[in-house]
Amino acid sequence: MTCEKIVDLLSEYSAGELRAEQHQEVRLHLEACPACDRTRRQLERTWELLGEFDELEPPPTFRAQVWERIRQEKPATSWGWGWKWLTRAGLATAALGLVLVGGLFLRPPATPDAPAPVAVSESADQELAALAPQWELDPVAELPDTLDAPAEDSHLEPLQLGQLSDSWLDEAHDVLGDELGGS
Amino acid sequence: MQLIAALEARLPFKASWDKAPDAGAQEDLRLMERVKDGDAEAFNSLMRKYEKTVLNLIYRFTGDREGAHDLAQEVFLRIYRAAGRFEAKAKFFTYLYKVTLNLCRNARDKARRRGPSVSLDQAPDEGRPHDLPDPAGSSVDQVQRTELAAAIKAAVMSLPEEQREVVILQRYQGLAYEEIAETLGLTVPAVKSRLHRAKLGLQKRLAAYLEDV
Repeated sequence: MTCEKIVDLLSEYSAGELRAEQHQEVRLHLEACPACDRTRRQLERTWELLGEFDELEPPPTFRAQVWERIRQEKPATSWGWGWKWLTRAGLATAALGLVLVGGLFLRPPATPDAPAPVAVSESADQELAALAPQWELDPVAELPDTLDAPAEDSHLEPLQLGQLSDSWLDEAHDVLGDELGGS
Repeated sequence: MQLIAALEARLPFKASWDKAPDAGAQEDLRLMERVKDGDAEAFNSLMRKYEKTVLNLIYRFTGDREGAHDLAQEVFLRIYRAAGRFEAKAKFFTYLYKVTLNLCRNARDKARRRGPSVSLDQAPDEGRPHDLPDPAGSSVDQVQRTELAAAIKAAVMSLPEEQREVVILQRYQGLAYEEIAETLGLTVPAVKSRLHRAKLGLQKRLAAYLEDV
């Protein structure tokens, strides 16, 4: 086996993932080839050094901040486009936006079987939960494709993760410019 | 068992047979079912379990210390928002990582559209290690350690994103090849190939720190 091929196998060799025969072949080569053996040691050391990448600690307020953002979100409209779009653009420009983007996404306003509103428990010991409003879940937006594939008879196109993310809002901003007002 | 051993002998790699779903993954799915029913405390439990994981996944992908906090909140916000449609077709953390990486890519795209900007969080060019004169011997180690950390960060950030993803998921999240493949929509051989290329790239980038190896 050539040194080039040996190097290609070094990651698996170090992880003990090669079949016995291949492992033996690589081991014998490394015993006879100082250059390849040095590469092996360096690759292993590199992998160890990655542990020096510093790690962040979430602040104690992290979960509270998430709940605050959830609380601040307004319920999705029956159109299913999302409150964020409407609060930004305003009702007047929202109509214009619907005309412009409707052809891009071909999405009907709402599905007949939109999920029921999620009731948030407000038991005494759930302070944070008490802040979360009742809201109608947005059937649109960033649903993971592998977890919620549309039914066979659905006329909805499968969404890719992030398909209706902020990026298309930015694109709409680019198209409509100042008409949308603040960002 | 003999049949399995015979099959494994013919495979070009060591097989990793499917294991029964672990208790942690099952618990995650139960919690998400409760979140789906409106149990906010269940969502709190999931956040407690994964907030640090998500935060560091984002930080190591973007290199942005400040932005990582906002984006991590956004991850959980979106998971909560989509909870009503949750169906347990995969492990929860696979879903979580997909959402996280997708948001990272969206943030990256948004940043690119806004044009280049100076990031105060960018790691300095690590170049080669250098000793700083210091009267207190113990702080020399600390300085070198800090430089090394910066060099590691810069090396990881210099990887192509497709390689950085697999490095983060394996080295820092401890995912198995199959789990990485499922998260990224790849085959296991593709994951291994990317990992190996990433290691070679990192080795070159960190050559200054490997001279004595």
